[in-house]
Amino acid sequence: MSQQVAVPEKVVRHKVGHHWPHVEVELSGAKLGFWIFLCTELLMFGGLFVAYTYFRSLYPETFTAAHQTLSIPLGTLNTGVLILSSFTVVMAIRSAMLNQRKAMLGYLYATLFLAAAFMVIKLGFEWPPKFEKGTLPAAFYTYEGLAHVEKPHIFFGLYFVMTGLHGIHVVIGMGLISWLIWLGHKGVLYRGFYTPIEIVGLYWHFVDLIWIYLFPLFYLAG
Amino acid sequence: MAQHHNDNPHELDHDPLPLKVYVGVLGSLGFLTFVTVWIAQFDFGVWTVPVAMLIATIKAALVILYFMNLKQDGGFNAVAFFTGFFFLVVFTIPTLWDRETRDVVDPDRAVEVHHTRPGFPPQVTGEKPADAPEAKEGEPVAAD
Repeated sequence: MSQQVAVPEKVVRHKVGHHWPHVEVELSGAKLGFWIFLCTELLMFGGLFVAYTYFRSLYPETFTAAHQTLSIPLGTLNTGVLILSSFTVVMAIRSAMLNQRKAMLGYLYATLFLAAAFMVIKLGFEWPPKFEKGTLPAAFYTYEGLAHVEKPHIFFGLYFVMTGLHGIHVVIGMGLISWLIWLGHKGVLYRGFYTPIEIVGLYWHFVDLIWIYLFPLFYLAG
Repeated sequence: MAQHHNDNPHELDHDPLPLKVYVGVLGSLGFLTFVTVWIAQFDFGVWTVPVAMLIATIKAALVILYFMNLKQDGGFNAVAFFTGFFFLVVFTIPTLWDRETRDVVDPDRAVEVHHTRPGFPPQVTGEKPADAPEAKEGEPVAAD
């Protein structure tokens, strides 16, 4: 206990459930359970990454030509937004560990705002032009600008499924962060108990990890 | 978990990493994002994707080790996560191996069912060879 921090008065002090011998066991058990869940998430996205690799090896010219229809500035902006939101999550955990409740709530609101910004950029600015042009998956594909390559609809099928599944994860993350904000206002998150932020933080960083790979594969690597 | 003596069974008592670690990771991630966008304008041929994946993996390692705190927690959490990663590799490598060698094993059938494309490997034209046997009833034939 190198940094002595006074417990704030309005905190609801944590008591571990009767099935846990110690709060440390509670935290490490929750973390291990969540890492196992992330393992299954990795395998779910992994199947899609294998599909991407397979079709890219079948139609390399298609992937090179089709990726040029995506907007690198918007993709880069969204990458920055997600990285910054990962940072605000770790800062929220740090503030909780230091009993800085106002800062913790500030960082959580910032994370929620950045997550919303990510979805607005994606759904408000990136996808509508694609619906207009017809660069859509499978039978919905009507774009004529890529007539010189084979089966461009496969690229957009992968694009919409992979970034769409990622987007669903972002929306779920927004719900989880809102839950943390509610817990924060209730006063249950402080130096003695911040397990929910740790766990939601793991989830949020994983969502960031997936985007770290999606961004170069779809937007950059031609 | 880092070994830490705590007499209170109900409340955690840990100190966070220094602020400069988090700020440093944030700065590195921003810098690597800039690098990966910047080098996208150059053509490295077959190395384009591996280079992009290498930078992405450095970024992922920073997030996992410091933001997700695996460097401190380590242990079984890492085993759980990297088991998933291992099976992803098992999924990927044989799939690609199969795809790359399919027409080596059976070039005629590879042409017939369009599992290859003209020019790869070089002897494959995409046309059905004149001496290829007709597909018999009950056998798989061209899908498209």
